[in-house]
Amino acid sequence: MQNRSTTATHRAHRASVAAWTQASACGSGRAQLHEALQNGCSGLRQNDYPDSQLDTWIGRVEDADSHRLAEPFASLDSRNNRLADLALGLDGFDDAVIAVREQFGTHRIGVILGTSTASIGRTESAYASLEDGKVAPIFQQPQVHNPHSVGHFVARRLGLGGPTMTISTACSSSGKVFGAAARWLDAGVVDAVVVGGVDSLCLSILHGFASLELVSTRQCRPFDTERDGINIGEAAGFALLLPEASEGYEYQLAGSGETSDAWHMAQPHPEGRGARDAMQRALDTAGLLPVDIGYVNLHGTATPANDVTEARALADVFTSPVPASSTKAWTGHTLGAAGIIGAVTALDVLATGHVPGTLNLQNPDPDLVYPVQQGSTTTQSDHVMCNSLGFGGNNCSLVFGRKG
Amino acid sequence: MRVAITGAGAWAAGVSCLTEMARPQEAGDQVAIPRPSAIPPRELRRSPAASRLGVEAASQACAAAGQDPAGIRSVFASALGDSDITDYMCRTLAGSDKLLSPTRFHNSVHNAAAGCWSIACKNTSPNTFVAAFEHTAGMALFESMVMVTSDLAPTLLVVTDVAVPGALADIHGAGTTAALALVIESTPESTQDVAPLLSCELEARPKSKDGTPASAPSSFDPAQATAELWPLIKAVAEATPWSGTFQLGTESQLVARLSTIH
Repeated sequence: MQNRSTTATHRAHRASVAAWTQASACGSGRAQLHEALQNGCSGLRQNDYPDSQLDTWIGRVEDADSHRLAEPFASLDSRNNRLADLALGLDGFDDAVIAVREQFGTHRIGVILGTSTASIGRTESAYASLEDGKVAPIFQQPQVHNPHSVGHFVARRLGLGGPTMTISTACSSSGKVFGAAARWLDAGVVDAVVVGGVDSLCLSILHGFASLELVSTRQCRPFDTERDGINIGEAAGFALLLPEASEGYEYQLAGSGETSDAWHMAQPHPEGRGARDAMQRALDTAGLLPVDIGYVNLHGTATPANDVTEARALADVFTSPVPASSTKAWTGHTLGAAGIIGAVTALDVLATGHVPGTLNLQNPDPDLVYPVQQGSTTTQSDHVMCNSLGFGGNNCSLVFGRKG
Repeated sequence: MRVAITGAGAWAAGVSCLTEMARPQEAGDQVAIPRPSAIPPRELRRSPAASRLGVEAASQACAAAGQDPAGIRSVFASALGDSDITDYMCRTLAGSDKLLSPTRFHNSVHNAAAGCWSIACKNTSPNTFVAAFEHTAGMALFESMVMVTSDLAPTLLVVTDVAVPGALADIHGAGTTAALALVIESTPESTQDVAPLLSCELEARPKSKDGTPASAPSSFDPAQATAELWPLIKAVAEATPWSGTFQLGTESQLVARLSTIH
């Protein structure tokens, strides 16, 4: 049979951003992240994750160590869910959800969360504490030991009954939640969506990236000549999205682009083809030109391969350079939460005009074909972009803007 | 939402293509992990079970629909992901040296099957992986239908389960190994006249008398997403009408009705 050709259309799906928050190594809440970015204070520390002797630096959320879930949710306990719970209580986020819950009804509010780790750290603990080869009673938590643990927990914690799912596409997971939510809102199947991403430190990630020789023994140095790998971080972040036409909100998701490299499971396309197309598509769906973008929050992991290919992709799209930086040396690479942390950082730039530079970038790699922002600057632009690029060649670029 | 199902694929115990679904399953039926021709032989050895299962079912569905595997976008889904790899990672990390295989680590990402499919077919369209534990089947169908109806682009839905080994089976049971795929297209302009039509309505989920959401039937295995979609695929294969309900959240459900044109 002759194949019919498939031309995927790329329609614009927009959404109002009604509330947002974050918890990362830079602190709990938007203000602490802003302060760290403004002062150039890294949240990274030498690896002190229990049972891991890896020589590296990590982005650990200290507040999550002592945080406990309230009694009704005790059976859903995991570090990942504690981190989610911690962030939901910040910046008035859960109050904002309660307000729309009363307006629309709990069944009309969807939940889409991104994660790569889910609660795998809890599963590791279950395996490390087997009793006669069997899982101990305290770890008998089927709703925790699966990729959807965070979606399940957040829907219950916020009392939401609408469609609930978890996207797990490695490091682009919580970028893609925005595109999915905007489609749901445009289709009219829900009236509001809680999106976000949560990833937590665990042995799988620390030792997995070490097996690929992608972990730096020093603080990461994005785009630097001496960059030699990532620092793993953990984080949780959330945003409440409403239909584009909703009144009274200052910011919106203006466009998004998703692509596949179709190249390699763990290596980016050498010319950054997928990243380039994701950025171009995000601009196209936002109806913007490259010059309209005041800041790009880069994926910028500080691996040799990511930074050189992302720079090439940037140079192809932004032929007249705009300020673009990596904030990974502040938070670490938060993997499945990288998309939401990038989005919160981009929204902070829109709200404050402060454009962070690239911490630890001292000697820009001469092989990079794009001038990445070293020091901080300011912008009055109405539009910003953020990139998240993942294993499997999974790319997502988002554009946020001031509502006109 | 109304869409057309233009192709389907399946792989499970005793089933290596859609037409075998009508055959009664036998007790001794074993599941061999498929060797899809889309994956180059040198890559097959390194491709994990979920990837081989997903690519096989996806290839069958695209061939049946006459869709170019290099162009169609996709939604991959699984309740547990690749349980083999999860068990391997957790077993290894419980040991003292914690030395993981780099290949098995990069295949531990839940979008490994989607990535494998995109690489095998040189498909640069967006792909995603969704999970919703006991609601995975319904959410994957819902997400695919929203994509088709809001963007008017054909979408490939691929759902996989991998049998649960080791200590993980103490938590989730032994599970099953199976894969299902559907090509979903907008209707009616782009579809063949004979394609079955699937209508889905999003409804508030009825609550029980005490106000709590209705619970799932007790025979339902939350870890097996393919099992819940099996009756729909079987109806597509046999071109018979079908209706059913998928849970999407504690208070929402998708009421689905398949009709065939003859």
